[in-house]
Formats: sequence, C-alpha cells, structure tokens
Amino acid sequence: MADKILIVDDSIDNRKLLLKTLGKGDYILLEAADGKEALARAFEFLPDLVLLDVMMPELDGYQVCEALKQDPRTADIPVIFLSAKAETQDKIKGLDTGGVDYITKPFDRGEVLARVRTQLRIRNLMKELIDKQKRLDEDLRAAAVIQMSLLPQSLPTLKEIDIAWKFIPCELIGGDIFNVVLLDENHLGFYMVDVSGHGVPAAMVTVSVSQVLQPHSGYLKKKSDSPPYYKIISPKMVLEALDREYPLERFGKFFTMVYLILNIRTGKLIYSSAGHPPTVLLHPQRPLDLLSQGGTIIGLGGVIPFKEEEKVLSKGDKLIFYTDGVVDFQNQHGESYGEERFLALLRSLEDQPLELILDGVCESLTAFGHQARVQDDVTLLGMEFKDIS
Amino acid sequence: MAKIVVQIDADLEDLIPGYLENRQNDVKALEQALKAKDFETIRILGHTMKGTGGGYGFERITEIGRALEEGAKSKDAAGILKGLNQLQEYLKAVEVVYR
Repeated sequence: MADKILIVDDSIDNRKLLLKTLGKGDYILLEAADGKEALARAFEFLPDLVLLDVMMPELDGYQVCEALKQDPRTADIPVIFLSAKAETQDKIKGLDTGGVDYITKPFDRGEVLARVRTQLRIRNLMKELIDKQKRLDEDLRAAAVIQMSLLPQSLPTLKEIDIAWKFIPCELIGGDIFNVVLLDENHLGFYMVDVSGHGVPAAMVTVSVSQVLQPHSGYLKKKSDSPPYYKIISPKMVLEALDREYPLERFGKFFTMVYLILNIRTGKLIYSSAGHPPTVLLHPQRPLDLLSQGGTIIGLGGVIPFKEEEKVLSKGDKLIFYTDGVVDFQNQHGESYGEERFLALLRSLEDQPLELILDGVCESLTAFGHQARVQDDVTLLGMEFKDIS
Repeated sequence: MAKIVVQIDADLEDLIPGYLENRQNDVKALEQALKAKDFETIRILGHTMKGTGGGYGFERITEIGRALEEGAKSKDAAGILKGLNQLQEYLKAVEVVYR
C-alpha cells in the first residue's frame, strides 16, 4: 500500500511544485490550502507524512502541528515543516512543536524528496517494531496463562489445613514456581522454586522443574515392591536428585528450592532447603521459628549434600514460604525491604487468617516501594495447620 | 532589451507559464497594496515569492521577494516600489530554457 502524503500550503504555486516533486516517488498525494482543511484531511485520510507550511492565515503551521500531535489518531504521523521562515528560532519552534524535520524555502527539490523518503522509512520501521512488540506481548500473555495453569488450581481441600498464595511475577511471567502436592492420604508435599533471573528463560526452567515434580514422575514418589507399593522420597533425596538433574550447564540457570513434607494426621514435618530463604514457622503466642536447614543452591551437580530437619506442628501453627523477591525488594532510595521488616510484619499479623497475612505482606511491600518498579518475582505460599485429626 | 536566460528542469515545463502569470498578477496586487499603504499584503506577497522563486528555478524572484518582505516590515515605500519595478522588468526579460 503506497504511502500517503498530505501537502499543506496556502500558496498554490508551492502546492503545484511539491506535487510535481513528490510525483516522482510512488506516493498518494493529498492537498490542503489552509490549516482547517489540513486537519480535516488528516483525520479523514490518516496520511503517513505531512508536509506543512508555517505561514498560513487563521491557523498557522505550528497550530496545525500541535492539533495533530494532541489527537491520538494523528499523533504518530511525522510532520515535516516547509517554510520560508528560516531563522534558527523558527526551526527550533517547529521541532519543539513536534515536527521531525524543518526544510527552508526556497527548497531544493532533490532535498525534499530525500528527506521525505527518510522520514517514511523511519515511520515504516517504527510500525514494524510496534507490530513485532505487539506479537511478543501477545505471546508473553499466552505464556503467562500457561504458567499460571501450573500453579495450584484447586488446592487440596482438607479440614486439617488452610492454604493461600500470592504469585506476582515482575514481567508477566516469572522464574518462581510452587505447588502443593497430595502424596498420599496422609502426606502433603510443599515445594517452592526460584530460578535465577526472571522473564521467559527463567519461566521455561520453572516449567521443566514443575513437570519433574509431578507426583507420578518418580522424583517425589517411587514405586516399591512391597506394600503399600510406593515410597515417599525424603526432601534431602529429592533435592539431591534435582541437583544432579539440573547442573548449571544444562540451562545456564541455577535455582533455590525448599521442599517440605507434612503428615497432616500427626503434624510432623520434614524439610530441606537448597539455598532458599528460610521458611517461617509462626506459632500463636510463641516466638517464630526459621526453617533454614539444607544446603546450597541447585545447580552445582551434587557436590554438596543436603541436610534435613524435622519439626512437629501444633494447632494454629502457620508456615510461610516465600522467595527472595520479597526481602530483596528495593524502594526508589535503594533501601531493601529486608528480612527483619518481613519477620516483624509476620509477627504482628500472626493471629490473622492466612489470606489477610499474605494481603498484609503485599500491602506493606507496595507502601514500602512507593513508586519503585518491582525488580524480581514475588511469591508467597502460606499454610495453616488447623488440627490434628 | 537584454534577455535573462534561466535554465529550468524540463519536468516543470507545464507549471512555468502558470507560475509566471501568477507573478504578473502579483505585480498588479503590489501596486494596489502600495497605493493603499497595505504593508501586510505586501509582506505576504513578498514572503510567498521568497519561498517559491528559487524552488522553481527563479533565484531572482526569491531575492526580490525577500526585499519586498523586508520593505513591508519597515514600511519602506520607496524600497517596495523599487522591488516592484525590478519584478516587472524581470518578468519582461526572463526567458526559460528547459534542460
């Protein structure tokens, strides 16, 4: 589709000359003899470029340009001023008003043609770029939907526990993933993974890890020859297996992880952490515990073993899993939210229902950040142990 | 009278007669404006001439246009009359050769 050029000049001699000059190119040419007609034609035909005279009666070129820039329909159309007003301040005014170029009259016809070609080339490149970005954005949004589908869709509804979560990736899709897995009728597995980086590459690794941690893939549960014909794999062994499966060379990424198995009948839990921020264990009316046993990040190829720790939950205890996007969040002064502030907040909210605790964390982060952009994915998973059954 | 030969691109051939005729009309308009001391009209006519002359290939018309515009800004009737006469003479003497 040929580019459309709107020629605006109150002098018919100029319009004729420009029509003749631009007739050499492959353009659709439109004319206007004054500012009012120029705006009408611009809104009607949405030209790809406007050649705009300055000295015109009633509405001058600057006013026309301003009007074009203020309307979203025409704001992106490049405007080249063509004027016999040749003082530097005239040129500055033209460019400040939003013109992309300013050619003085009397003009060289070859120069006008060359500058018009250049501006149209830039405009077409911009359109291409915007199209590409739009497609990328659509792809990202689709990917985000897919990633959200990997998160707990319907959390196991059990009378013994409550679960709540927040998933706030910083770029539509993120490098955090978590889930609550029903291992058998007595055991729940909780895992949270934070892949280094964020955006598409990190998100793709989360997909891989989340597939590997499905209950039937053999990592969390293995078949066995004797009743009950399966074995729940301990957290330390799970982490060690993942460490072997995901050395740094595989994706150029490492990740932190916490994996916790809870017996919902007895309240006994066992966990191990791979460099992950310590899970917070809130007790009603008692100081909190930090679950920090384990080892280092996943990706070193099984070099360093992982430790495990056991605890017993009592009624009303709450677990809060989180990723470091929470505590590393910086406000516009470069100040970090920090673990201390986070733990103090959790302590102050510990009697609240889970949903309100997590809401409280998010509100606190927003208030702390003022206008700062989120720099990393923020993920929270909470569990309340209501009763031993 | 000596001819002033101006070389102009061949593709403008169909526009030249119309352009020169408009300048003849400008001469009449300038005379009337000068009589009425309408310096604003003179300024606009001069400004347009300044802008179009060189583009068509008539550098001299640009020069005269510039002088008329300046003359109108300073309300210099004598200077304007001089420019008007120069324009008239130029239009009588000019001969276009197409290349």
